[in-house]
Amino acid sequence: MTERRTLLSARMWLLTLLDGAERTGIAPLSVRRLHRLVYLANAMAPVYDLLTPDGYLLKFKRGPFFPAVQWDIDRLSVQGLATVSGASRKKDDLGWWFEADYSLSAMGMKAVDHAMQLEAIGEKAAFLREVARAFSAILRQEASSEATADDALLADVTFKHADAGGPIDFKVASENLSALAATTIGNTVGEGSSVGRRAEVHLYFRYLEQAWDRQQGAAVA
Amino acid sequence: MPEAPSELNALVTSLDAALIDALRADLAEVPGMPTSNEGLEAEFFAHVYQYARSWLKERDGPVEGEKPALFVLSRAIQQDVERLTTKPRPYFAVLPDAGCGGQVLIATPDFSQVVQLEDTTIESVEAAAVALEDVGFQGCAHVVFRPDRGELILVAGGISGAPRRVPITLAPPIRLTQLELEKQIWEFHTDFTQTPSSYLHCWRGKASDRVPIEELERQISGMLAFWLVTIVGREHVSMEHYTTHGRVDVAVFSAAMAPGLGPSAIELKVLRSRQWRSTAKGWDAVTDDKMLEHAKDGVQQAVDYRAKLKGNIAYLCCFDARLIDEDQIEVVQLAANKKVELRRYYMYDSQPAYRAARAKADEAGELLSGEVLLTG
Repeated sequence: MTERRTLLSARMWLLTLLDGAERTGIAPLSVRRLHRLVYLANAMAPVYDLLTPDGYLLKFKRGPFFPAVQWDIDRLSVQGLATVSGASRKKDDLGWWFEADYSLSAMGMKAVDHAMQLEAIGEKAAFLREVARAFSAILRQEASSEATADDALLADVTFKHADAGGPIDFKVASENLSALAATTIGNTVGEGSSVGRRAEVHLYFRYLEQAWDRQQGAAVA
Repeated sequence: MPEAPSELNALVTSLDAALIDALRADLAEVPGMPTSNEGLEAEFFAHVYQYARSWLKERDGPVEGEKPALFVLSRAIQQDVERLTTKPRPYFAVLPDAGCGGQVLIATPDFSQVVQLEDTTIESVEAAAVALEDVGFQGCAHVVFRPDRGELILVAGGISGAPRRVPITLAPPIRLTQLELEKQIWEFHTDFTQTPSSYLHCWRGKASDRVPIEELERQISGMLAFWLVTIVGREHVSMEHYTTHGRVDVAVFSAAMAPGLGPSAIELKVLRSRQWRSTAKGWDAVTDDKMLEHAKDGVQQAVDYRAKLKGNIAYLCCFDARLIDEDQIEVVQLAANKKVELRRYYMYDSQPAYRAARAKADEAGELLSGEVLLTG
C-alpha cells in the first residue's frame, strides 16, 4: 500500500507540474525540458518545506534524467492523463536518443482539479506551479534563447558538482545544496532578511541564468 | 553550527556586487500573487485592470460607442491556440494604444501570452457570454472591459459565476493612511462579503444555514489583494507573502503606505459556527472555544508578520460567519495588548438581516462592526 501511495504521489507530482506548465504557456514540454523542470522542482522543494517523490536521478550526459519520471510520464500518456506528440528517435554526437512533447490532457486536467481539493495536493500544486512560473520568466528574457533557459540549470550548484553519469539524491533536505543556495542568495539580496520563499525560487532561477551566461561568456573568451 | 559545504562557499564568493544588484532589481518582478487558483485569478484580474486603465488614460477616459472587450483566463493557452483560430498579440500588455474593442482575448494569468480570437467580434456585454460558450470557455474566469463606461465586469466562476462591476479609477495610485486602508477593507467587505448578493459566494448551500465554503479565506485573500491592487498598484501588494514565520495573507508594502507607516501585514480569518461535512445534515457545529483559539492564533500571527515585514501596522481581519454577531472579548483584549488592529466584519445571510442590523445600529447611533464611514 505504501508503495502504491508513493507511486500515485509521484504521478500526481508530475501531473501538477504539467498543469503548471500549461497555465504559464510553456507546454508542451520536450523530454529534455520535462526532466529539467522536474529536477528544478525537486531541488527547490525544501524551500517550500516539501518532500519530493523522486529524490534519485542521474547526471546524464544530456542533463538530468529521471528513469522513474520517464516511466511515469509514458504510463500517464497511455492512461490518457497526458498526451504525447512528436515522438521520434534521433542520433547525434551523444548517441541515440528519443524526442517527444508532453501536454496535459483534458482528463488529466480534471484529475488535477479533483486532487486540488485535497489540502496536501493544493500546497504541492502551488509550489510546482511556482516552479513553472519562475522557469517561464527566464524563457521570456529577451536576451535568452530557449536553449539557454534550459541549459541554465546546468549551472545549478548540486548538478555542477555531481559526478558525470553518477547519481544525485535530493532526499536529504539538509544536504540539498540547491535549496541551501537559494536561501543564501535570498538572504544576500534581502541584506540579511528573508525575501520569502516565492522570491527565493524566482531569484535562484535568475541566478542560474546569470551564472550560465557568465560561464558561457568566459568559455568563449 | 556545521560548516557550510565548500561548494556553497564558492557560490557565495561568486556573488559579486554586479550580480547582487541585478538580482535585487529582479526582486521587483517576482509575482505578488500566489499560484493557487484564487491567486492566479487575482493576478489575471489585476493585469486586466492595469491594461484597461492604461487604455483609458491613453484616451483621457471612457470612449462613447466603443465596443466591449472580453478577456479570458486560459487554462492551457498553447492548446487553445491549436484548437482555435487565433492570432498572437505580442507586447499586448504594454500597448494600450492598440485596439481591443469588440475583441475576444485569451491570456495567461500574467499577460505574458495574449492571443486574439479571429473571426469573432462582440458587439455587446451579452454577446460576450455567447462568445464564451461558442468557444468552450464558459467555465473560465473572465473579464468584460467596457471602454464606453470605464469599468470592468469580473467573473471568477465562468458564465454561471456572480459578476462584479469594478469602476476603473484614472487617479494616480495613492499612498494609504491607516484610516484609508481601513476604509478600503470596509468597502471591500460591503461589495464582496457582506450579503449573499455580494460578489463572493460565501455560503455552502442555503445562506440561512450559515455554513461557509471551505476555501473562503483564500478567496477573500485573493479578492482583497486584487481590490488593494486597484488602489495602490500591482507592485505594492502581495498575497500569501511567505516569511520564515509563515504566510502573510495580504501584505501592503511601504511604498504604498503613507510615509512613516511602513508595510502593513493583514491576517485574515473566517470565524464560523458551522463547518461543512458530507452528512445528511450537511454540517458539524464548531465550538466557540475553537473559534476563540483560531482568532487568538490570528493575533499572534499578525504580531509575527508585523515583525517579519519590519512594519508598524498589523491587522487581524475576521470575516464573521458565526450564528451571532458579537465580539470575542478575549480576542479584543489580546489584540489591544499586542497592538494589533482587530476588525470584525459580520457576514449577513440575507438582505433583510443586513437591513435590520443597519436600522438597529442607526437607531443606537452606532456603526456596524468593522465599519468605517466612507464619506469625510
